[in-house]
Amino acid sequence: MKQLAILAGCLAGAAWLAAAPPAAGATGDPNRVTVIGAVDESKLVPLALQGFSGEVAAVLRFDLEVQGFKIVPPDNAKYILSGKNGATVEGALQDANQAFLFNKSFNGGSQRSQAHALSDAVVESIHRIPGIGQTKIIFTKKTGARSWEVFQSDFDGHNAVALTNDKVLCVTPSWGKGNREVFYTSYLTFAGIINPTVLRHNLDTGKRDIVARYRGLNTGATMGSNGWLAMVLSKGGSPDVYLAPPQYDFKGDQGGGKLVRVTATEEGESSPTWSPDSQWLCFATRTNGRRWLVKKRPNGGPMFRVDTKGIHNPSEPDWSPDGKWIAFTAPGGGFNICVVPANGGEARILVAGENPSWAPNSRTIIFTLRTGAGVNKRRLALLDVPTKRVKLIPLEGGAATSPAWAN
Amino acid sequence: MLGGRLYPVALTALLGLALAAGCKSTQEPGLTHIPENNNGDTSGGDGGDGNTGGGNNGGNGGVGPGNTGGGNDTVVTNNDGGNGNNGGDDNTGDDRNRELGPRPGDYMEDREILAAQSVHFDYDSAAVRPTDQSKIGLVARYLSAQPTFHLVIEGHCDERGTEQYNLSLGQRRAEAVREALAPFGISPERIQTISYGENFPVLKSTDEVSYQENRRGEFVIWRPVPAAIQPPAGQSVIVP
Repeated sequence: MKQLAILAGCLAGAAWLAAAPPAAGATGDPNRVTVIGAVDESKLVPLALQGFSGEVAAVLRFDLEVQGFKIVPPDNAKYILSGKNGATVEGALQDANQAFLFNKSFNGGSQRSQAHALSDAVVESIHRIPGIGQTKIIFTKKTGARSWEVFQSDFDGHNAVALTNDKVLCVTPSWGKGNREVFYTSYLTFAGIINPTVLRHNLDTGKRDIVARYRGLNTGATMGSNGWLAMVLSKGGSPDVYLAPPQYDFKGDQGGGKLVRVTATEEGESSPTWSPDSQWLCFATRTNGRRWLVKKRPNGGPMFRVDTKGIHNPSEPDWSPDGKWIAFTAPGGGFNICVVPANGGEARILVAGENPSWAPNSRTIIFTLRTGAGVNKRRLALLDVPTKRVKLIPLEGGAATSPAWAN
Repeated sequence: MLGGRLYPVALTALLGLALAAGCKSTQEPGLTHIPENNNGDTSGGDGGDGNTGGGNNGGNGGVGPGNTGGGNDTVVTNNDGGNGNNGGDDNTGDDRNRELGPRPGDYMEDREILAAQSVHFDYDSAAVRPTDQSKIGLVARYLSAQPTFHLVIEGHCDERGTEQYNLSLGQRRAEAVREALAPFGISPERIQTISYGENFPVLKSTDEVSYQENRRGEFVIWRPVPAAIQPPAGQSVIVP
């Protein structure tokens, strides 16, 4: 408590310091850490929370625990975050030498969003990377026996809202330009014909356009920083990767003549992902019965294998926003989330799960966790890659899957 | 569409057979009447897809933005209104279906008639089994006998693949079945393939029996909606 006393001296008259620190490791807390893989304790940064209560304390704990911190009593802490949550959230961060790293108050928004902003300030101050507290995700949620919808929420699953009301199978949502549009595939019926249909959905206006409704599969739409949209279409026979130019006009392009066909393999491709500079496309392919991750220049050239040493049958690659890593899914008594350097090499198995999507910090991954048999038993979870710490996202009702993190 | 919704199968089967047997050469696809149940099915069962029937009258454009939440059907809105059935080759009744090949007029789904012919696949394989060739042959004969009928082949997977991989695998399975039908001379234009990945399992347990049952190709028939039955010409009866 020595640190607390000094802190009190520094901020004389700050009555909120009297508030009791939140109990660490309380049981029954819905925000408790659920560890699936082995957590690397040595990499966790011990931090104490003082003076926060209720929702604000819960948000801070959740945000910080999933970004490499371990909430500890003040005596064991390397950093102490002291503050209060009254009309506004206030917080001061000190290091082990009691030096102040910042002292901020947060205005506007909800208490919840103020708490997220405070956690971002802590992460930026200590890790020197942007926090994820105020980021958004989209995902699909099962809303009926045979219906799914696309939802958007805060990264921690709160404030979830439905973007669609189609009541059909809906898969592979992703973010488009400036996070102001999303793409997804809905199995829409027009004039009695059901067909998977790639839609562009403007989040400002609610307007939707068909991007692809060709014979067979239309899925996996992913936009590169160059504005081109990669998709998996089977209009040419087997599922192949195609590119659509920016603002592609499906209706004005009879036969898909303006689409660029990236692959023409006999078997199938899936899950295209762009390098952040749009110089490469990576996707899962299947050749001669084996599955690989490959990368290819969007404007042609050969396919290069992305070696995932020691890990067979990878799929669902997702390129990190800093360009350094590719997360993917591999089978192994269920499915595991793995990470490999973007140029290939030694791949690491991290936790049980599938369908990874990187956060803008290139450190956290959101993924789908199977909690039982079947598509009804899927939920979303967060993984801190350096520490292998996992947190389940609390979501009300319905199985959730196919998460995509806004970058 | 995907089960859960009841169609007047028995009635249409009878009428379909009558049409096919009695006047199949004179029945012009595309001139059939729109039956009441074609619109009614949007409210039945599990709700189905909210967009069914959007193209029946051609006036399917013009639904404004703001399809987030709420109870409105979300209808894709790039039509600028009234793109209608303006004739031409667009006999699917909706130019959003332009790339899908022809399916003239109004069709009704029949999931039952070929339900017993579902074919099954080995784990992570899209190869049609030799033992399923007899089923393929039966489906081909049925389609030959019913030249106005269209076929949808659904590809399904067990849950041991990742979700996105399974979407591709299901498509390859459906395509493989389509190719198996090709030697029988069924026009590819009459066949639509669709992959549902692992999302619609038959059985939900995590054992090999369930997985095997779920790795399948299903045949769904779409038959022309029969013309409304007109009463016979009025007969004058003189009562003594």
